[in-house]
Amino acid sequence: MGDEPRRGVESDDFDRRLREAEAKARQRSGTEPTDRGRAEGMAVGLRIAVELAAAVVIGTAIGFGLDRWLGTKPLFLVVFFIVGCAAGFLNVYRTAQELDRRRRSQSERADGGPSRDGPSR
Amino acid sequence: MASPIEQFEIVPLVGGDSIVAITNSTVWMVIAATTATALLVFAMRGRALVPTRMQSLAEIFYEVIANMIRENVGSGGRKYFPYIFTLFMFILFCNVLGMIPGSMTVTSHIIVTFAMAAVVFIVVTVIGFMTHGLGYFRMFFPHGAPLWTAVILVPVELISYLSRPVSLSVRLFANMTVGHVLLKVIAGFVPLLGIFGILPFAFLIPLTILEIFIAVLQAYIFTILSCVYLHDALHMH
Repeated sequence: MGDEPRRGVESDDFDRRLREAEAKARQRSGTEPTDRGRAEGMAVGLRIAVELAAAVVIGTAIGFGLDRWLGTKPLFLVVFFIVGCAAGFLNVYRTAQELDRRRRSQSERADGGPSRDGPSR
Repeated sequence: MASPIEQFEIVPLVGGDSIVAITNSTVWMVIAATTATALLVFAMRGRALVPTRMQSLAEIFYEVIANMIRENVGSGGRKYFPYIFTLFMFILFCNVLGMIPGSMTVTSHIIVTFAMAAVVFIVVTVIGFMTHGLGYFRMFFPHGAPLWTAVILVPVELISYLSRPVSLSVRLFANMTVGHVLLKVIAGFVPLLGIFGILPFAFLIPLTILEIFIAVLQAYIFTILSCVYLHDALHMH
């Protein structure tokens, strides 16, 4: 007999806890750094750094190889170092563009479409 | 105190000094491949409509990669699913099994990551030439740019293209090596500081969690970048 009201209380309690948990989850996805957020931040940083360095290394290696092959000691090393730097920046630019695109599509999905953008800006 | 880089040493177990010796690295690669296969085969044995816990896990792996390919490769990406999925599972299990104390992290050797990145690079380039024929060379020259700029743009694009396997392999290798060295160095302070060793010990706990996140995330990033390269090869930017 006493089962009915108690179940009601329990489901109220459950709703309250669900709301609290959702609020906490929303807060967590914001500014508060979590382990996951830290790992993702580090991943983004390292990704861009490696992207820049790799192109410079490849460019320098090509220049060095050409110089050794053709015996034109500093010429190609200098030229391909500069070209490698340009390629590095191109890589960084493309990576940043791609990350931006992904972040935007993710936040759009979280907001339930771009319709919310209007009044907030 | 043990040296922090001792954990990366290759120890031949069978075959001695021969270049095809079975080393601890080989053993852990086999363990990673076997565990991944065993998990998937065992979990999917039931083929239940309402999945068990293990089956859900296997289905999550499948769905993550299927979604990744749908979003990043687009049309025509379906047939490369087995390769991408194998790549992801192998790297994931190598990274995560490396977190077990006393195990060997095979992905902390650049030759292992570079071999995988080189295979991705070759496969993607071959797919590009198979799809577009010689037109794939247009990849190295942006559409609509004045012809004289080719002198500058082609080398830049070429180096950018050639740097892909390097950045792909160095990123995974650096993340795994740095993480494990850091864990070992901090852990080395624990016995040295006596009673105050509790402080580095307390710091090790979040660091270990962070490392596990990084292990999973780096496997994901390696795979997602392979997908992005595959997309470029199929659709040319």
